[in-house]
Amino acid sequence: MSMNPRWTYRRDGGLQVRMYFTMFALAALYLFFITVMFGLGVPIEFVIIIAAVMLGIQWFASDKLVLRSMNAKEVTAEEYPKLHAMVDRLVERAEMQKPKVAVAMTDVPNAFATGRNQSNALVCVTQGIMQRLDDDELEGVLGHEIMHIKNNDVRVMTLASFFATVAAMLMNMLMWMSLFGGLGRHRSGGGNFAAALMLAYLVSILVYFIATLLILALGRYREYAADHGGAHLTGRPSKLASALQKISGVISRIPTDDLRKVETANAFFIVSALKGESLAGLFASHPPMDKRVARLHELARDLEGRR
Amino acid sequence: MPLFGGGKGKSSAKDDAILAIAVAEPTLSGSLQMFSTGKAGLTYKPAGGEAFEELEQEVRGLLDSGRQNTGTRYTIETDEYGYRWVLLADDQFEDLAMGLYVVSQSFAERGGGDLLLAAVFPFVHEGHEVQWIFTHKRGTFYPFAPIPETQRRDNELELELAAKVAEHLPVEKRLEQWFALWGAPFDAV
Repeated sequence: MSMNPRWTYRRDGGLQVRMYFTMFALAALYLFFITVMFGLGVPIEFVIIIAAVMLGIQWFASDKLVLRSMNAKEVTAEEYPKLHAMVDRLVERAEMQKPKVAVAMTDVPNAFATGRNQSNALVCVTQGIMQRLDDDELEGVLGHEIMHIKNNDVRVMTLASFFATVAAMLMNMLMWMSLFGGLGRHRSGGGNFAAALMLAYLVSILVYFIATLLILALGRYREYAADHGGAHLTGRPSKLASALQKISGVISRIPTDDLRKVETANAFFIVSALKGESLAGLFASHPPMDKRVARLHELARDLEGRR
Repeated sequence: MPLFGGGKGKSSAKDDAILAIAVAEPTLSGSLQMFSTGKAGLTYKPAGGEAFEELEQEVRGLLDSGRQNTGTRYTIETDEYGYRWVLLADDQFEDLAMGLYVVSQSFAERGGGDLLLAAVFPFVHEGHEVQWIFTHKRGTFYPFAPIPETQRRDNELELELAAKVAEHLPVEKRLEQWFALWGAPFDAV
């Protein structure tokens, strides 16, 4: 019995279906939202213009905004030769353009990719992740981030968030409108106006809430897809698995900073107070770590079996 | 038995916790295969002023008598962070622990307890260096296993060893507090 060489697609099938279903559900939700808003006579044109401006900023300046907020800067091949060499190898295998490479000066182990398309994409790793991972594990993480770029995840997620942003803004605006009795004249009949506002407000909240859940679910599927694709890129899923365990598990809590430096800076330590486990899954932007690790080990076994 | 002449001032339970490593050492070198390198260090932030100079004078006096009584060698260094290190060398582990304890008592008695940062006990476990770091503020120990020639540490080994010694040493439970101490100047002694 011969091994099926197209096992990637077979295995990915469920994931794809769920991903498309989530996108479809999002679209349906937004359609419903628009219908209700028009039905109620809410002046949404204005809101959409503002939202479009916000989307535009997100679209065209996201990489710079993200870099600034992460205290990261683009680095050259002279400054970080090993990092650049890894990215070079991976993009060559993925047959895509090389993204910009950046490093964030923080001890928190993390990595991300951004950019609205492949030609202005950027991949960023933190000092903390480079200090904690060995070369193979770092390559696993970079493979994952590069697959995010290849899958156009930033674009998909930005677009998916668009209506959630609109809903959130409407929610705000409607709250103020109902507090101050409306902005000028309104189209629908007098006494019903307050009730209509209230209803529009509630619908906005509902849409925002459901949209957020769907966007998070979509994001999680895309994480799995990037894990999967990245693992194929490096050929070593178990390295990404051990990297994930290192940066998410107990080990990520151990600092690499020097005691003397910390003492001099008189640093405070903020305990993460909120650690709801049951709801966390629903609201998480990434799938649970143990599930990702389990899938990667499964992948590793399959890859071994194929050799 | 006071090896350095004894301290009569008051000491808190946290300060005394450093002695736990002297009690635990036979177990560490026995079943856990962790061997002292024969050195230990205490690091503190130097302050200015006459009182501090007197304190350092007293510490030198204690270390001198320790050298006479137990043969414990010592040296005092300042590192690139501006922290001072009292470094001891002695094949008798309990002399190392007691020596650092007596010095820290001297700090506490003269109101310099807050200047103390950490006591460090380097060990070797299966060819890897593991330092047990005691912080006076928290009164606990944690492992630090730097990987040679890098600014990385072997977290797996640290977690493994911390779990193993937990019943013998007061191990710091908050991993966020396991700060590194890169390049402690043990070569100087």
